[in-house]
Amino acid sequence: MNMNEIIKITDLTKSFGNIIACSSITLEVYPGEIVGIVGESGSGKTTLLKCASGLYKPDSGEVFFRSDDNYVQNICNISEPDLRQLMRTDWSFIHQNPRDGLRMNISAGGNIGEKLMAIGNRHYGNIREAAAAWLEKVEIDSSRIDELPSNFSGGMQQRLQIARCLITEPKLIYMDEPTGGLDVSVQAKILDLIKKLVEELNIAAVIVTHDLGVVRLLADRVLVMKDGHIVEQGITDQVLDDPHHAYTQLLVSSIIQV
Amino acid sequence: MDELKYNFAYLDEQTKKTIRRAILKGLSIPGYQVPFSSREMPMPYGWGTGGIQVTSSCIKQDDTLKVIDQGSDDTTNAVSIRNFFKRVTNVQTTEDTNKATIIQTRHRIPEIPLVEKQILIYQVPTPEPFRFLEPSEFETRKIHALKEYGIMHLKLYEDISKNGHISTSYNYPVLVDDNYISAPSPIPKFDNPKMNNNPAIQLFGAGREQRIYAIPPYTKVISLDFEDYPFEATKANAVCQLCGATDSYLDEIIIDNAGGRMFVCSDTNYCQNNLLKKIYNP
Amino acid sequence: MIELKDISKSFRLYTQNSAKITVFKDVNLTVNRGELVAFTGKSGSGKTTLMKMIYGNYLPSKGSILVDKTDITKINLQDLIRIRNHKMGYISQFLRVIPRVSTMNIVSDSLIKLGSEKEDALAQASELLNFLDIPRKLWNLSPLTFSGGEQQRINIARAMICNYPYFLLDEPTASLDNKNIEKVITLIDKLKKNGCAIIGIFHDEMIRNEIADREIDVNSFK
Repeated sequence: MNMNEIIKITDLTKSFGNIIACSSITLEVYPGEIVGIVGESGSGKTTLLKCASGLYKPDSGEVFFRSDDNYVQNICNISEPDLRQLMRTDWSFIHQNPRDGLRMNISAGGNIGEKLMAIGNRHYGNIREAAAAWLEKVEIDSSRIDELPSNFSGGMQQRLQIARCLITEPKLIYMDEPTGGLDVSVQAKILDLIKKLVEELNIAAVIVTHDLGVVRLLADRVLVMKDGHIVEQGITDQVLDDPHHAYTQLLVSSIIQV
Repeated sequence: MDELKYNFAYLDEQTKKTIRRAILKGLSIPGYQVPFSSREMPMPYGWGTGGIQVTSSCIKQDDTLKVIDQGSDDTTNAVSIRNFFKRVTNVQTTEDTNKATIIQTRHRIPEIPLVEKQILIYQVPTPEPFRFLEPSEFETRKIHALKEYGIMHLKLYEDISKNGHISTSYNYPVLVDDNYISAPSPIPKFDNPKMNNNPAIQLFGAGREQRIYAIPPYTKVISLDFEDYPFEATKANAVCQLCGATDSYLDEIIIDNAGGRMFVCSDTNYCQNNLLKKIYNP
Repeated sequence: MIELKDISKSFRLYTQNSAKITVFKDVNLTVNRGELVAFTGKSGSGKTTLMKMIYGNYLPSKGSILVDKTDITKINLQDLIRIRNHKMGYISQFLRVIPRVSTMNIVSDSLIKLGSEKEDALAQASELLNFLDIPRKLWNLSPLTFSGGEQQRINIARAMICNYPYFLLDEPTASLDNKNIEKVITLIDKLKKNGCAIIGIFHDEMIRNEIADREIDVNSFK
């Protein structure tokens, strides 16, 4: 199978009991682009993200993922070892709460280096060097490499999580409200960092958020979800400036102006 | 004495059969932790109930049993277990490593190299090498099933970053048969190389945790390490002050109230043999 | 070349009793390379709407918009993003940036994104910021706290640093003083000489007279 997309979701449906969280979702993501998914709580954004990243198994539909060597796999029916291998190397999941994505009892350097060790790196010096370089990349002083994450502020923890996720240079990152719990000034730094890294590494990113401001600044494209459906999608400016669906218009008109 | 009221080696034959099945399974999948239904033993958990059940299931009338605790034949734990088996089996016991056919041990491997047809039975408190990194049994089983062994190196990484060297000095994780990462039980890492390619059968019993695992004779057992921080079988940098041995694992013993201390062999049988040699072949 | 063929646009406002507002009907327009076309008409007449349609921001209800013969209303989003990133500069009245990112980075990033070397991009950004009279001491600060005029010049710099063949200018000089307007006009002239096709909205008649090749009253499209 040939595809240009890095990930291609076709006709994906997932329900929990009587509640349909995602209904016939079709979505493609290309290398180098940032796709935003917006919608109110319970609209199915996170479920979609979890299905796309293999954390949930959809009821029906397919999720095709293309690896480096143009090898395409349907992640809905690959074996768990293969899936976990992809999770370690090809994509990463950045959680809203850095505590969900970090080992809090392991030093910053260990947190960043873990994925390298998981894929077989057995040279302490190299691992440490790479971890220090990534700390600097996410603007944390590398002299703090041996500190525990609990010594860091929320924003630093989030940057640490980003470094931990990106060290193996995945092709795709999933982000669930990556700036959710942060104060606005820290939020700005994280957004800038994400944007820079995505450009620098030419990776694709899918970001779930309810913050239209974040989407406006970060995403090339945006999808609007409501009740498990994608009700509108397009280039971010276009969807936000010229929303066609009633719900999107409501969403856009509800932004509080400062 | 009421010994005759017990079956040979305390456990009933059905129980011994199930344990032998677990042992055989363990030997066929070196390093894999086989669950078994551990029985209540007439001593508390932590006293080696796992090792005792494995010994009970292996021991025959013609066996010669040696029991050591931290290398020593004469500490409370070793003496109690040896007496227990004397009562319930009436087999011969010995302190001589060469004469023993079954050696039950807590925290050491004898200094004298083991040979074929010997069985070394370890008492294991925590059979899961990942337990302190990952509390969930569900997750640790997954770690083994999917060979997601990176986090063990994470532990060693943390060691080096904190102390400048791998400071884990006992229960040092090993890779058995290039396949399963296993806990060697809390033996000092000095003993780890003895596990590799050992002619004897090595059996591990954890009573409270209800697990048995095994290393068949002549199996590759590697201690995990980094390329630039290779594994080192360390011991105290001293000689035994009783027998003068330089190649054995040493205990540091406080000998008076003034803080005086001396280093002696942890393996009492080895130390004694050295002393006897000195006396008869000065 | 930018061509608009039979473009119509209406909005339906679901939040306001689903009112339907028709803005344009049957717009036909061609803008050639090296030419500056100015849209005129009073506020609310739809100048910005028309420009945003050309940028692919508003979807026309009917008709086609060709940029170098490619109909941007029919292509997939990735191709549209590519055309925007490589061919079209859009300068609005407002500066929209990630907070706390420095002025220097904002301006040079546009070039880096297109594949320039970092040193080269920084050098060009310095030159342009100098030309536009942005004091050097502001270069390492985020422009969000700058005056309206400074923000507008940074908005101009971050777009004009790239040699796009097409530029859409929505009141780029609204809050500039005469000295700076002259500088922006110099930049626009240079773009035209390089064969750039430009569509602009300028309230100031004097500016239009100076640089516009044609003026089009958008009221004629009603």
